[in-house]
Amino acid sequence: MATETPPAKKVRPVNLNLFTIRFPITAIISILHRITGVLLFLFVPLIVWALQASLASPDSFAAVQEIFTLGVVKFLIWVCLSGLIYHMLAGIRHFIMNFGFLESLSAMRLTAKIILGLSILLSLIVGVWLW
Amino acid sequence: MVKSVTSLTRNGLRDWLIQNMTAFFMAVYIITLVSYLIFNPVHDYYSWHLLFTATWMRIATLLFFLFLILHTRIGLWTIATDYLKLTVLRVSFLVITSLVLVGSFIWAMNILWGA
Repeated sequence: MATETPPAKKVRPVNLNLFTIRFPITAIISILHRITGVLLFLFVPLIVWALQASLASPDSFAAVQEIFTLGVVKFLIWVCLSGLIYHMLAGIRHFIMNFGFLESLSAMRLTAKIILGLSILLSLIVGVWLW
Repeated sequence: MVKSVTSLTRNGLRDWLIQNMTAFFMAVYIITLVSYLIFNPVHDYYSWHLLFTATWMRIATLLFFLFLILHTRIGLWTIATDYLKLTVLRVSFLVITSLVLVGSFIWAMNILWGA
C-alpha cells in the first residue's frame, strides 16, 4: 500500500503567448484564408461602387480611371487583388482536399508552401502591372 | 456552445456544399473574365459598357453576385461562431454584414439592369 501522498496541484506550464507560439504552416494557411475572406468582404461595396461609376456614363468612367491612378487607390487595388489571389489559391487547395486528394500531412505541407509561394509571386506580378 | 440556428441553411452539410459550389462558379467567372480582359484590354467606356450589356455577361454577373453573398454569409458565420462568443455581438455582426451583402447585391442588380 502506497503511503505517499499525491502531489498537490501540479503546476504545469501554460503558454498562450501568440508571439512565442510557433504555428505550423498549415495553420498559417488556414488563418490567412479567413483573414483574406473578411478583407474581400470589406471590398465588396467598393467593387460595386466602382462598377456603378464605370458603367454610369463616359464621364464617370473617366473619373474612375482618374481615381485609379492615385497611389493610395492603387495600393488598395493591390491589397484587394493579392487577397483575392491568395483566397482563391487556398480555396482551390481546400477544394482538392474535399475530394480526398493530397490529404496526407506531408502533402498538405507541400501544397501549403506552393500556394504561399505562388500567391507571393502573383502579387508581385500584379504590383508590377499596377505601377 | 454556440447553437447553429443562425447559419445560412441551418444545416452544416448544405452550407458546406453551397460554399464549395459557389466558390467553384466564382473562380470560373473571375478566371474567365480576367483572361478575357488580358487578351481584349478595355480602354474606353463604350467597349466596357458593351461587355456588361451582353445578356450572357449580365446573367453570369447576376449569378456571381448571388453566389458571392451566399458564399460570404457562410464564411462570415463560420468565423463569427468561432470568435464572437457573446451572442449579442455575434448576432449584431451577422445582421450588419448580411445587410451590407444584400444591399450590395441589390445595388449590383440595379447597375446591371439599369435604374
